[in-house]
Amino acid sequence: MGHFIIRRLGYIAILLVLVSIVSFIIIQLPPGDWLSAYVTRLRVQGATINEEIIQGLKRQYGLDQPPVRQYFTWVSNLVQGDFGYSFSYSRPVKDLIIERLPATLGISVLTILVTYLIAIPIGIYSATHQYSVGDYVFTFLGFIGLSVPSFLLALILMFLGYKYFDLSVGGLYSPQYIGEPWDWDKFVDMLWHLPIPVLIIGLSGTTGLIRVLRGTLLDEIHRPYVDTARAKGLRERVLLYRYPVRIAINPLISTVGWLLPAMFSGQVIVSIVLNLPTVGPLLYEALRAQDTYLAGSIVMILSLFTLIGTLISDILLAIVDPRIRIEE
Amino acid sequence: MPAPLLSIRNLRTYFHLDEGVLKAVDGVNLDLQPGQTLGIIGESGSGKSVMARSVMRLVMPPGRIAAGSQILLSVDGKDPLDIAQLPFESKALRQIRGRLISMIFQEPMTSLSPVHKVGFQIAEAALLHVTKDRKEARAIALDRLTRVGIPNPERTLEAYPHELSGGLRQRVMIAMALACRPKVLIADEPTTALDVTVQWQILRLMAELRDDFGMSILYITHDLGVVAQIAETVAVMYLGQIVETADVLTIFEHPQHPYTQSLLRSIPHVGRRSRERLEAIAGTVPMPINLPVRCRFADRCQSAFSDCFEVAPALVEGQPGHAVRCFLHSKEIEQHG
Amino acid sequence: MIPSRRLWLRWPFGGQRGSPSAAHDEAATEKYYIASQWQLIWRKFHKHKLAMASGLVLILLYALAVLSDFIAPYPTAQRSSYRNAPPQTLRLVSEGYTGLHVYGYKQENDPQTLRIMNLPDESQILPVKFFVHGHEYRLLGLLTTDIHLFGVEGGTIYLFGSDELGRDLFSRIFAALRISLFVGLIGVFLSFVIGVVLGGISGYFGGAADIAVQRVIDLLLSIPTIPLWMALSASLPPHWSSTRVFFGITIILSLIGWGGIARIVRGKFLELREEDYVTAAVVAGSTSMRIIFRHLVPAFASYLIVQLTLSIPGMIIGETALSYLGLGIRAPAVSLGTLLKDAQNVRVVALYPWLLIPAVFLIVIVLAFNFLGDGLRDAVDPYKQ
Ligand SMILES: Nc1ncnc2c1ncn2[C@@H]1O[C@H](COP(=O)(O)OP(=O)(O)OP(=O)(O)O)[C@@H](O)[C@H]1O
Ligand SMILES: [Mg+2]
Repeated sequence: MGHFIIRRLGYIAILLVLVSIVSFIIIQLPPGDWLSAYVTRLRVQGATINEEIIQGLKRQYGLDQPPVRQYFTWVSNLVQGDFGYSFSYSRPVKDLIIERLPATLGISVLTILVTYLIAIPIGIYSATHQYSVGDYVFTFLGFIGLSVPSFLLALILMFLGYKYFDLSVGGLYSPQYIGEPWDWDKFVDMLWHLPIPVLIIGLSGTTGLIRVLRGTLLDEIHRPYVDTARAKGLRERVLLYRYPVRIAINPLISTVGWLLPAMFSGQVIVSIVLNLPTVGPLLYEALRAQDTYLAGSIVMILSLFTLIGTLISDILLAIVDPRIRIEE
Repeated sequence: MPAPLLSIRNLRTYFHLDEGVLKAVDGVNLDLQPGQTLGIIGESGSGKSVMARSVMRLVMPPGRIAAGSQILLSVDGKDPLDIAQLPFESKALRQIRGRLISMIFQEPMTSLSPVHKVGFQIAEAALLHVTKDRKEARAIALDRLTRVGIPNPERTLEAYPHELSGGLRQRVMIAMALACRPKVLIADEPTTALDVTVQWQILRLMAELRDDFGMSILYITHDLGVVAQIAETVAVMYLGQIVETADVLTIFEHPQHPYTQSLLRSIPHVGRRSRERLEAIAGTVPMPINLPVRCRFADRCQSAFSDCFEVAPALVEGQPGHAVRCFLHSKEIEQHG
Repeated sequence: MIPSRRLWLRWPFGGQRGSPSAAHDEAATEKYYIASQWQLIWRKFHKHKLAMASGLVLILLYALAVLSDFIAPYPTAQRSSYRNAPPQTLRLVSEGYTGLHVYGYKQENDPQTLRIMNLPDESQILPVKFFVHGHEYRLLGLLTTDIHLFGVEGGTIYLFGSDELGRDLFSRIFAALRISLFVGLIGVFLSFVIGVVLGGISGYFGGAADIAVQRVIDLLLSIPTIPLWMALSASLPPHWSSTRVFFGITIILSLIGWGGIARIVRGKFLELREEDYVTAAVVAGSTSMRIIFRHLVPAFASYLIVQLTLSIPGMIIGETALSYLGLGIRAPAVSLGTLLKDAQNVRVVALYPWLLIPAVFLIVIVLAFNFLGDGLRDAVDPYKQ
């Protein structure tokens, strides 16, 4: 087991390096370097900038060096917790991201939980009632969930809420709580605002998961070990949950690998549409303002979370399924 | 003769497929006496497994046991119970499965759950039928593992199936089947997937256990050598029907059905003169869908004559204990009702 | 079900034992095998009504998209003074006129908000004419013409209403279909090329090449796509023409889509590499490339087609999402996403709900691709009835 975890860690480390390269490319991609773009913008706005400060920044971020050196400067800064400077907010990137982290992670974890909580019972139902009306209904809903992009769903719900229920769907709290310190009322208010974004973000993952579970379970139900168990005299229901369901649910843990990136994707765009205080809108603003350190760091952070999530799911899978440890 | 323990009457198990009705088992009659080992032999596709699964009511849709089939089980002189009539999810059926009749499946590799420990899988059966106490169930599991000759039974209890070799897994399957001391053990080709030495060990083990536990065994195989080793009575199956039954000596010494004869010619025989050639039976077992009413073996039979292609022969007991379904031996025609 | 499975596995190899001209026979059998495999897939697919219908809908939409200049009565950028006008209803019978027609608009001020409203004017009957002369365009990029499918004289025909600049939504949607549908098609083609080449290299040669490709795929699969797409498309230079942006976006979308295809290709290669006929071909002295293209590729083309079909909707959604955020397709080009951008504000949508019509097209397209892909997947699965 220890060996297994070490191998996975090594593998994640390689991916992390690759992710950092991609993030760095994102930072470097826009034509010209960001500093001169920034300086130009300030000048246009009529500000006078001390040439020394510019030189200081250049040195700090290694802009006078070749790209490869710049990358290493950037990475070593990263490791020390310096994510760079956001020029549109005039604040360190790290602070901006940390501010948005609780909502980002909170919504993510909640979404993942809700996804599994909804998908597992429905998947089991669909597989055990194959070709029943319920199965068809869920399959059809699944296609809808797969086919309506999350931003559009958010838009449609916002429209319906506004038009027919006079509700403002969006945000994580009602306007009067924005910027207020946390108290019970604000918390309750947030609970009221959570379900819609969580359901929207979770929808496509949920339908995907239902599909996977239904498929595996349908396979497992016809496996010989099910007959063995039946031949012992087990009740059908006990049998179902103890053997095929148990075995079909195991691989669901590893679906976190594709669920997480899709979930973060959905979260970013839904957050922009619904104006949630996650890193999504921050990324959007950063990209529009060519605030490249901020944008690159957000992509990096989201990928990092994905990798950590995958690592956790790998370990969990190895714990619940004895075969995995051997095969690796 | 004592009353049979298990008596199968006119068992017909059909699969209702898009292509038509596949008659996997079509009118089988069999009697299994207490303590007896009955060997069922036939080529692949002859319906042996479907028949065995029918007895345990493990046939799933689109498969169905046709109305009129009877699977009578009478234990300790009680009134016979017709397994074929029991509702699929009934308590009565669950109490037969695993307790009175157990089954060992064809593939030891996939017939055990990969994510449960061996000990749990054996103890589970005991917990269902003989005890409510986990410790006791575990003790039973340990005892059975010891009985089937597993070298390190304590350790094996905690093992997962993928950690065991094929031979050990099949022993685990046997231990599991024996957990509740069943009256009938159905063994569906338990040794086919194993190599020859292991095969013989398992076979010897099963014969011993049969005597120890006082079971009857329905032993299914396509290997005549195995049948000769373990069975007292043999039923030869072809395309869902029994074509010949007799005691094991008669089958080997005086086979009467051309199919049995060619099966015998297809195995190497100790004492067979080396100049005689081994023969494979020409052709393959067809799919039993939309079969015409006539002798089912006629197409592959070297002795077939015109009648064989027009009407179906009945299974007729020419000598006591020796029944054959062939016009060469009896002109009786099968009546279809 | 078991009998058919056995049949399927058995028949391609049957009936050739002991034939005198084995070589000739083999080629014939191979041809028969491949032809029959496609036939079998087609037969199964044919039974899948929903997938068939989806396929037809898509063919129709692509045809309409290609002919969008002909279908659309107006150029996409042509404005009128009828802003935010509701869709005009096609009518057959009105007082004093029988035949296909619409009512013109009359403008009034909303007494409360003082907004200008465009209301149907029943006194103004505009007969719909077919094959009318309108603005000039090049049909299929070849033929310059000014014939349009339909139009009216002396007024406007806005079947889907107009936007806040008084542009015809109907014309804009069909122009947008062309962009949105072809982003998917071209994107998937690029993904296909990259995926097959890299997946093939990975699976066929193994070793270091395999590891490198696998790591890059893992990387792409572990970066959330939307943020990456956003970041990449935001860095397309602002001075690029809308055509270049279109290709830029398509390339970005396909860069991320090839991983799945490469995985499948690699997996199949590994699986098939073991199979006898490849060994036979190697023994017979075929070169690697020949083996790949003669033997391996046809063997799993069907799986690839399924995968490709199923990855088109993701790309279409990706483009739409980017354009919706203003990071994708740029004016003067229009896509479903840029059209939906006008519907960002719920207050506006509540007043002018027809601005959501592009969403209906988007959903229909994505749904159709998913149904089609699903039907194809069932059809190519030999173990499924
Ligand atoms: N679930 C099923 N659905 C449809 N047909 C089936 C099913 N199970 C068995 N059959 C068919 O029933 C017939 C008998 O099969 P069965 O498995 O009993 O043969 P067998 O004698 O056990 O052969 P083997 O030696 O290969 O185990 C075959 O033609 C088989 O195709
Ligand atoms: Mg069998």
